[in-house]
Amino acid sequence: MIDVFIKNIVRFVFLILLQVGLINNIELSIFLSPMLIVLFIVLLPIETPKWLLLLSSFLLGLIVDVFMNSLGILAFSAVLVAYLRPFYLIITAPRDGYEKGSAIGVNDYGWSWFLRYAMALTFVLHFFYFLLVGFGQENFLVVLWQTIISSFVTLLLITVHQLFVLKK
Amino acid sequence: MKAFIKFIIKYHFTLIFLLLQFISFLLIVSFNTNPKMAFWSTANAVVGSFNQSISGINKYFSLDKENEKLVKENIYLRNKLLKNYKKNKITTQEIKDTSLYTQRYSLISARVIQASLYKENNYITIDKGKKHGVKEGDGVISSEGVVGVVRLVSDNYAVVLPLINKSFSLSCQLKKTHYLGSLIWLTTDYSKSSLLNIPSHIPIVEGDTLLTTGYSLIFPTGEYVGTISSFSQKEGESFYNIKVDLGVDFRSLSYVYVVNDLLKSELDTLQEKIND
Repeated sequence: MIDVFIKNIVRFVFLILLQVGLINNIELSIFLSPMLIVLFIVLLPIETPKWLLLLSSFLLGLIVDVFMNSLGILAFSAVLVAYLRPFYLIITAPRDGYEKGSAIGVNDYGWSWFLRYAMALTFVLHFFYFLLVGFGQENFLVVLWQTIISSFVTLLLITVHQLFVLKK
Repeated sequence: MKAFIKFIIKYHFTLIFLLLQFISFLLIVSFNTNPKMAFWSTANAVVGSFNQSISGINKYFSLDKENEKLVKENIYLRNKLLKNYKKNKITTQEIKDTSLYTQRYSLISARVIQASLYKENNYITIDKGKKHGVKEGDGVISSEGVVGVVRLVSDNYAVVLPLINKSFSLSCQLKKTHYLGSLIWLTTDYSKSSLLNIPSHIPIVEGDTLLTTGYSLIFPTGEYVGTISSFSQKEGESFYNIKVDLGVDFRSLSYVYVVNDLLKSELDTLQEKIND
């Protein structure tokens, strides 16, 4: 239990450092700002208390917001993703429910389930982030393309992460 | 009371969610309207020193380019030195009267420690703040031209709203005809911008230069902004649609100057008197 707790805190810190130290500095196009921090929300244990799920996501978004001068925008998007997560998990639950103590990831749930789940969360986060950042932007298509391209790259990074933790 | 607590416990997930979304919403709004939010930006001391150490690594890779820029500026300034000019006017006596001149602007040099190019709202963070005399609303220029305006200031850092931010507009004038227009960033390209409000009966040419105006109390008169790259006019519209190549290369920007208007308070009080 404590082990899982520490693991998630380390992930929290590491993902923020990776996001603001490396990923945000790779600037190639207006369509590309992958928010890998969503991986933290994706990988939180299923049994995480709901208030902690919301609060940690809020904090995660807020810290990265300060680094990007987009105060509140990522926090808003991350909290929304955190709120929707339990509903998604209920809808896609296996017939006999989630196994106690199982960790979200390809090891316990397989590629197809995990990637669909990660994609849903990633997409929602990016969509609301770009929508709020470009508020007043008449061209909705730009927001959509930004969401699609950045989500795709984020998913690619998540896949790479999963390949690393994959047990053969 | 019991029912109330029961209600809170039952719906705590949604209630916390709504509370956090409300806080986020307040933060978004206040960041866009309140100029005192420096703590919540890259002007934050911790964030600033983090960015500074990262940009310290990047700095070494652009040393060559930076030197070249400085040499260019040196040559430009040296050419302006009086000793390079031969006197054409024949005078028998020269009076140097320093009371004829008052210094209006002083410059503070600053290093760019963080900048974004591909956001809709780009910002630049510099390593000078309140401590060094940077104030909110000060102009920022580089050797290549106008960069932007200081938006948030903390003790050691400042966040600059550059020309390539959607919420920035700069009044500037055409060098040839002296007409005024406003420069607004409507593209997504960090090297281009648009000039609005130039009426279509005014003759303009491609390649004309855009300069800051003397009306602006932020920049010195005649600072280079950019050149007109192309213009068009839609049927029935009374204004041109003008595309501008920006003078500053935001990609390679690493040193800037913050413009301090020494006469600003004097001008401000004067204008306040008129308004009263």
